[in-house]
Amino acid sequence: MTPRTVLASLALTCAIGACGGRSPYWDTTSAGGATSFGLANGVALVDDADHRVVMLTALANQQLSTRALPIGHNVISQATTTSSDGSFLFVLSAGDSPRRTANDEYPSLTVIDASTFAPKSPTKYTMSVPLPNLAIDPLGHWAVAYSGPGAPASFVQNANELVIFDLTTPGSKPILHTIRSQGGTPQRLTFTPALNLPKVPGQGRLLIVETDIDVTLLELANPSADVTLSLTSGTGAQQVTPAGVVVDGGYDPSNPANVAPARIALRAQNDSNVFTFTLGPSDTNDFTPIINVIDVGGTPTDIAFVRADNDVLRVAALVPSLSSAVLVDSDTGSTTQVALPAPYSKLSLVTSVVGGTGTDVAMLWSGTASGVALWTLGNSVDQPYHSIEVLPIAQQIQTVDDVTKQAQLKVLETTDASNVGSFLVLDLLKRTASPLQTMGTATLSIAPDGLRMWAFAQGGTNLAKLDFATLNPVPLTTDEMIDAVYDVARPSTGAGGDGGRSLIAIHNQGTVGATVFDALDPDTATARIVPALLLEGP
Amino acid sequence: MKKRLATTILVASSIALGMPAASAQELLPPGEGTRAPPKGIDRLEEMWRFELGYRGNFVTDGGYNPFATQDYFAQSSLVASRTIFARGRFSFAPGIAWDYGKTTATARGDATSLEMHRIAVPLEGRLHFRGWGYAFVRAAPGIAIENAEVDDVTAPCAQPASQEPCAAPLTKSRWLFATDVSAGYAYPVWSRKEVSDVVPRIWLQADGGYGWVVGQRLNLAADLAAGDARLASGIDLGALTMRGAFFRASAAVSF
Repeated sequence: MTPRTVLASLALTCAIGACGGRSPYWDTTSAGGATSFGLANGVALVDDADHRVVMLTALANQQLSTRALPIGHNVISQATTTSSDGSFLFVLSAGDSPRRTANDEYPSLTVIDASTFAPKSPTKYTMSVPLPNLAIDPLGHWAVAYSGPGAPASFVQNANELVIFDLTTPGSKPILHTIRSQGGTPQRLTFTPALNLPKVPGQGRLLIVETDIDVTLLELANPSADVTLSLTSGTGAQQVTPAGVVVDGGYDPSNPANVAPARIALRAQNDSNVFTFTLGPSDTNDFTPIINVIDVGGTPTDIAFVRADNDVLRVAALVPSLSSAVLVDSDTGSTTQVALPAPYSKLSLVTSVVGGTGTDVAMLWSGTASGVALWTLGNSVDQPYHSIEVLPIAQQIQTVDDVTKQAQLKVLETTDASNVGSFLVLDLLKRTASPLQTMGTATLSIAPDGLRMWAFAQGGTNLAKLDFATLNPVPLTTDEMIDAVYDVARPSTGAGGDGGRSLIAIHNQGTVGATVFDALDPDTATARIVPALLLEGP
Repeated sequence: MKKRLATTILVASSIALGMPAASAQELLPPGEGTRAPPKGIDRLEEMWRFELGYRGNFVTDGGYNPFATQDYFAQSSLVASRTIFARGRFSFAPGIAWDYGKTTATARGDATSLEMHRIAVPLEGRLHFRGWGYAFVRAAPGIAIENAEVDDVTAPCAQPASQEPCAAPLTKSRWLFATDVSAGYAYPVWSRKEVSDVVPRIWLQADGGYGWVVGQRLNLAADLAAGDARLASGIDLGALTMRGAFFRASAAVSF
């Protein structure tokens, strides 16, 4: 039998028989459903079993269109996130381990540009080792993968290694950097805004790496010149664990002449000191951190840089154990204690809404104490007793949500032991707090256009729209259990585009379904059920 | 269905193979000139025939994948035909045929099924070899209905007030043009010496060929009750064309 005959026989056998077989796609099951992420122009469903992201775009008449984009293998769910403006989706993947063939994938970061209604092809950055955590630069320049807390993702893992991705150079080789360790491992990463560093005024960007015992300052443009600062006193054995940092850039873009050194303040979980770092000039590096340690009398639970009397920059620290706030001058180390009517533990600056020029106003609340207060910092040092205004709110506040494009509104999620959910819509200008009650624990989702809010029972079928203008709830329901809801824009042009908005309620079961409402005029009678979003012909 | 079909074939085979020797000797001997000239109609050439068989289709179309783990579609086959023209060793017999098959599988964890009925008019040309039976070619134009179904938990509930899992199936049914072409051979395993006798004769036959059903888009929709005003989208499983080579093994009885 000649080779030609053999080939012809094989071809005939394949034509008659069952060569080709079933695509493996049909045998992949998404037992746990898919993780969903809200984006500016749609919703992303991460279908790890089929190594893809399915992008949902809302269309008129409550229709949905889908588009699948490839991602890396074995997605690390905790490290999948979006950019703050919802324009990008970042998917960190562990790859195929062990690699047995050349086709098996390395660990990677996939970046999907979803800034338009037609997402572009993803950009993939390959890594050599899988890392389980990802930090995203709010300004969109950098992403950093790191080990962080938890078990190692590979047999041997360098806990202090950072993999730095330059997102402005798609597909570029990531920078590997191991921070100078004094025994700690990175727990939390913070990207600074543009800083007024001595050698690059108004342009320096730092990555602040909080480990479990110290802090590292790393200049993103020059990672090798990092500085690790120990927080532990050389005279004691107790380790100080960082619990959060705040940054003042020292640079006012609207007034470039008004420059000051960039500053960083840090609080600890188990220490009554506030640590400040003033970034001064250096002969060798772009900066030298000048450390100042100031005792505020108790463990602070939140800190912020504030403009107090006469536009003087201070660190405001909340010390619930003293029922006080403490203002710290980072240059002199002097402190001013301001007694508070309750042991508030959280603060948020609301200067742009209720403040004046040259002074800040902070909103104070606590998850363990009732009420909300506004703290005017303009006269805190001289007349601290005149600086606090208590708002008439009796509940304990667990979370404060900002409302996009309506800075005067805050949604206050309360803690209630009776299992009856409630939340308040606080108007800082009118000083009103409208309470709204739910039959059970409600999850809130604020529309990106800032005009409405959605409350739903996760794992239930109840849903309600709340318009911020009227606070009139519109009750809705779905057939299937709701996992998440997303208020998304519809395209204004093209097929199915009318410029409206849709509410997509995700049902994370089986092959994942959705119920789509018109977000501006929701009605169960006009809602559309869209089943099996992850089941379609390849 | 497959078990019943297999039983039928087994019984027919048993009847044929279990014939007593005397009966076997009554089979017409092969070769020319060994048989007495027929006195009437040769019932081995001009006859009514009823076939019951097993048909196996090889379907390599990608649209078939959600419904089967292999590229194979098993069917049962029923054919009735009547010789309406005979000249010399050639005859022509039209008929009517019904094929039925159903396959089930899972697609991404969802239960799926595809059911097909095919009704065709087989037009069969035969070349007879006297007591050795006949070879035939067959063209069978017809129609087929494909019923595709997917059960997904996120489909709208068939009874909206129900508290139990009640997702309506996602379905599509459509009539389509279909045709087969095949060639095969029929052998009389149990006959009579007198070919003009109007008595049952049993045949075993096999044919192979190519079957084709017009393709369709598998855009399945929720099977909601009439009057249910809820808006529900469907799913698109791609295009399905049920085409491919097939074989058929049948037992037949003729008069």
